[in-house]
Amino acid sequence: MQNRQDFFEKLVSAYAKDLYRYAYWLCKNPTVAEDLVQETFTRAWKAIDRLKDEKAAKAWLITILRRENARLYEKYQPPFTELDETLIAESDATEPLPMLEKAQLQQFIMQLSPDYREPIVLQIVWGFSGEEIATQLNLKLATVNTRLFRARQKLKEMVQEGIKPTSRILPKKGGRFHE
Amino acid sequence: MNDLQFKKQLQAAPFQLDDEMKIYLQCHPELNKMVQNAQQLERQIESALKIEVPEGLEARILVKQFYEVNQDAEKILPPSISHTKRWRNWTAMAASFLVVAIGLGVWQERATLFPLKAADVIAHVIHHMEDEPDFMQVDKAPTSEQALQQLFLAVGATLDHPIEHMSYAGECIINSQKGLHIVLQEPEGSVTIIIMPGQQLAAMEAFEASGYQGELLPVKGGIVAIMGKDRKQVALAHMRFFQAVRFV
Repeated sequence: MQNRQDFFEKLVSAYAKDLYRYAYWLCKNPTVAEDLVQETFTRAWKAIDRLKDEKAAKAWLITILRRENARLYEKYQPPFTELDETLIAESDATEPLPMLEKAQLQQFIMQLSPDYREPIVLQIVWGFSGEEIATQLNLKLATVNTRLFRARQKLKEMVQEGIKPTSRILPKKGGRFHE
Repeated sequence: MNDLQFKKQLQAAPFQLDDEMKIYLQCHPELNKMVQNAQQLERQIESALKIEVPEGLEARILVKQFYEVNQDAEKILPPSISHTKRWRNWTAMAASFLVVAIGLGVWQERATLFPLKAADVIAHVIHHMEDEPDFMQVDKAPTSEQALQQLFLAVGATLDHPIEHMSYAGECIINSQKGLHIVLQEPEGSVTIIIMPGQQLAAMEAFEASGYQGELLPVKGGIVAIMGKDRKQVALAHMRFFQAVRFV
């Protein structure tokens, strides 16, 4: 029992913060993000004996959180602003990128489609490799690489073109994200 | 590899240039600027993604888990471990003694509970803790189960098992009343717990005062104050304390 408790405390200490960040970028709402993290750890505690390999803890927690998000909140996801698909900007080789305010870049990230946002969060915040992201999201590696590429490409376009981020993320009709 | 493939791979992972990309870059030094730009944006994205996490998140997770474990424990009997059994015997004896003591009116202080304002209690416990800084350093808790049990019995509590990480436990006088002063050594520093029998508080109160984070908890027949340097420490101490102590 004590070993389980110690192990659980280690998991919370090691992953709670990054799990919250992942949840936040997944659902775009701090309250829902915390609920998701709480629920994830509640379920993790109940199933902790099933986690045989400590190294698998990261992927395991992410899997639980994604499942909880799908079960509880996914239908309420607010819509995103779709941007024009432009693959490779040819003019960017020598032009330095403007330095952005962190909050402005966060708004740009919010505008990415979840399909693009989620892989980049897993890669940057969680340090997942392309293969790990592919396994987690049940995608082909080539698809993951394309999404990672497009996510950055879109962010770069927004930065370069100075697209004004939307100040409000509007909810779907009947959704719970009222601002 | 060609320029297009190079750009695609760069944009997929700007800091992970494989050997083929490095060779291509050496042959095409004009692409260095593009690599720098991609990596600069990557740093900005990384910084933007690492949003601030609400304070006390880890503590709230642990407290929630603690309560769920205890709810489960009420439904399912714990595994019989000889150590636990021994403590349960002491607990049973202590509880019986307490019932008799109350019946005989030995426990005078518990007959009347004094309602207090949370702000006053906070001031008392902080003042008391700062008056006794040595308690945070010493390793001085009763070694025998009987002696330890008696200490808790004197404040209306029993121990189901020793409190983890406890380095000090001793009687004290706080606000002119007898109390129990406990110190736990958590990895990030010491946490003080003070049990004040015979005093009453309307509701639980979290506080931040004099550089300490803490909580006041109304319990049967008294108040428990837990104070540490941050919320996580307090939550861990809260969990360890209530896993071991019962107020009867």
